[in-house]
Amino acid sequence: MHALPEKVEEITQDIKTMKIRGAGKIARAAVGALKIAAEASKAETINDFIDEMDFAAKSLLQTRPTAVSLPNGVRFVMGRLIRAKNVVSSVNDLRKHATNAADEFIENSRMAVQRIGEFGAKRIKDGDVILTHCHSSAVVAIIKKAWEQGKRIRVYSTETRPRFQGRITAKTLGEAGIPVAMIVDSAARHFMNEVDKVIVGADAIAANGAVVNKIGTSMVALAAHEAGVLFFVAAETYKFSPETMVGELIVLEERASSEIISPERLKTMENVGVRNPSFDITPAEYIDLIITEKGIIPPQGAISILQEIYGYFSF
Amino acid sequence: MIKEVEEIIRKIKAKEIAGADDTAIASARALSILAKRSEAKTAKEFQKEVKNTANRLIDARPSSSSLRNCVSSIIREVEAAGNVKLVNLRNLVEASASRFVERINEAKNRVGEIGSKRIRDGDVILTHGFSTTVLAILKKVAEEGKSVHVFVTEARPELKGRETAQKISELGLPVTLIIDSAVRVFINEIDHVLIGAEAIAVNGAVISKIGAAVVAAIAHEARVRTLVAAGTYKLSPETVIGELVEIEEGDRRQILDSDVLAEMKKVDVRNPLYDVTPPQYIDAIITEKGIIPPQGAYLMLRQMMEG
Repeated sequence: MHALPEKVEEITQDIKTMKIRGAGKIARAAVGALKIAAEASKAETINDFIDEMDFAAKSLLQTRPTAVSLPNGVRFVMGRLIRAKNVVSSVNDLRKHATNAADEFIENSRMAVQRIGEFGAKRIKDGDVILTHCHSSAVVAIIKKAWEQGKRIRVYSTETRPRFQGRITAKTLGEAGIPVAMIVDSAARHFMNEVDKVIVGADAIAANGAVVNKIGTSMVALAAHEAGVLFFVAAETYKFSPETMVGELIVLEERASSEIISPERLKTMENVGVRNPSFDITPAEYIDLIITEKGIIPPQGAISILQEIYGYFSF
Repeated sequence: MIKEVEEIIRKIKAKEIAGADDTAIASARALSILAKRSEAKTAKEFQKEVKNTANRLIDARPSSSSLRNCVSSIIREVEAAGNVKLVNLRNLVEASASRFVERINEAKNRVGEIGSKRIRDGDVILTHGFSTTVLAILKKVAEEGKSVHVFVTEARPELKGRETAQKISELGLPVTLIIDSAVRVFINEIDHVLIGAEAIAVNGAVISKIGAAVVAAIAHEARVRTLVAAGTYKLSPETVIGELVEIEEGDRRQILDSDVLAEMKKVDVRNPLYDVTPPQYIDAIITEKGIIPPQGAYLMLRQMMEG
């Protein structure tokens, strides 16, 4: 039986209890934990080292089973290890592969949002009206970058029920001096004719280019599609889900009814139940572009991104 | 100035009286009160007062066709009466007002009966907003013992959907409450979308609670039928001569409370109360005169205007 190094155990707990949250942060923390595990390992054979790393990886994978960024970070490091296993001559060499892979992932992840901002801003024209749903740091990076480039844009931000993350977006953009109007989610279609581009983030992207994102995204996409408005998704490549290459479906989390209506009020309503899915799926045919840190791809390009990063399945 | 009349105008404007039918009924009552209490000395003076109040009622809720139709029908009768004594004119306004209220109540019952025929045992319905006409149909459905499950959206920003959920559950029908954004996730479970209307334009476009057009677009995408339940007094005659139905915006504090707004510099709020569902997304409009395709709105309006 293996034991986790103390620091790794602590990070695992922090992810589980949501002390560490946000797709990027979770992934970086998990990969950082793997690096610590590699450095702390006292394994004497290559196989023992792999076993120890595998144990740490599995512990991290169990923290948030629906997150895509976390397993992708873990997979990035572990995939590198498995491939290096047969070409290295010592445990120390292998350890070096692990720490290098971890450093590379963390650095890439930090740079990714900035790169997405730069790539995405090129697609924004002076005078554009942009609509966004929910809160995505990649989307904020694009809009801010375009604004810094002197493009006079304005933004519609949906409030994003049930947890109102749209308010964070509106506040952040407003503080940057960008004119922003807040609307209810239902009003997206009403204003769509004024909009030039819709830009949203992603929680996960499937191999077929379908995008899993905050509930309501797919109806905004439908409204954009109907009105002939461009629909962009901004997402780091570690949000692409390799499981979907082998036909797995992404699990859509459903949260507590108290996010929608107070338990006291609900109790007064006999026969009334609540359904509260947190995400929905936007089909690829409603998506014009996916803006990643590696460049801009059509949704059909998702499979090639996945293959480039993970190859075919090896673990 | 009659205090009660002023109070009704205020309530309509402040949306304390909200539904399309309640608004029309309240405006009829306002004119009825005016007929009883007006201090006008001559028929002419009274006539002017009625018209003036009618216009103020319309301005209090410009997007409501039922209110407009209600006060216009009263005004038309006043105008047709010609030179009559003040007392006769007072009686005429009162009678005309109560006829309109009766028309609304009868229409609603009839829409309930007709609409209920379209709902089969075991159907799953989705509704958005708060509509007493939709409730009339569901009441009839429940009375007929059909087992029907209803998905209800909360309908931001006013969250009127909660009231709808409550009322439907009191009919004994099981309800699932969802946020407006979740409609597309559940649409494949739905047999019919059933919504009310604030106004219906001559081309069959339906003005309803903000979000209704999105719901209809989603239903259309999934090939689920959208039914609109509305008495013919919701048809908008102005649209025949090319007027557009005005979409009012509500108080921004419905979306962000003042404290949060004060914190958010540069952040504006847009709060349209209604949106327009195009006729191609509507399968049928259920009226008290029967079920019509949206294209039938023109014919009904013509018949209505020709008396």
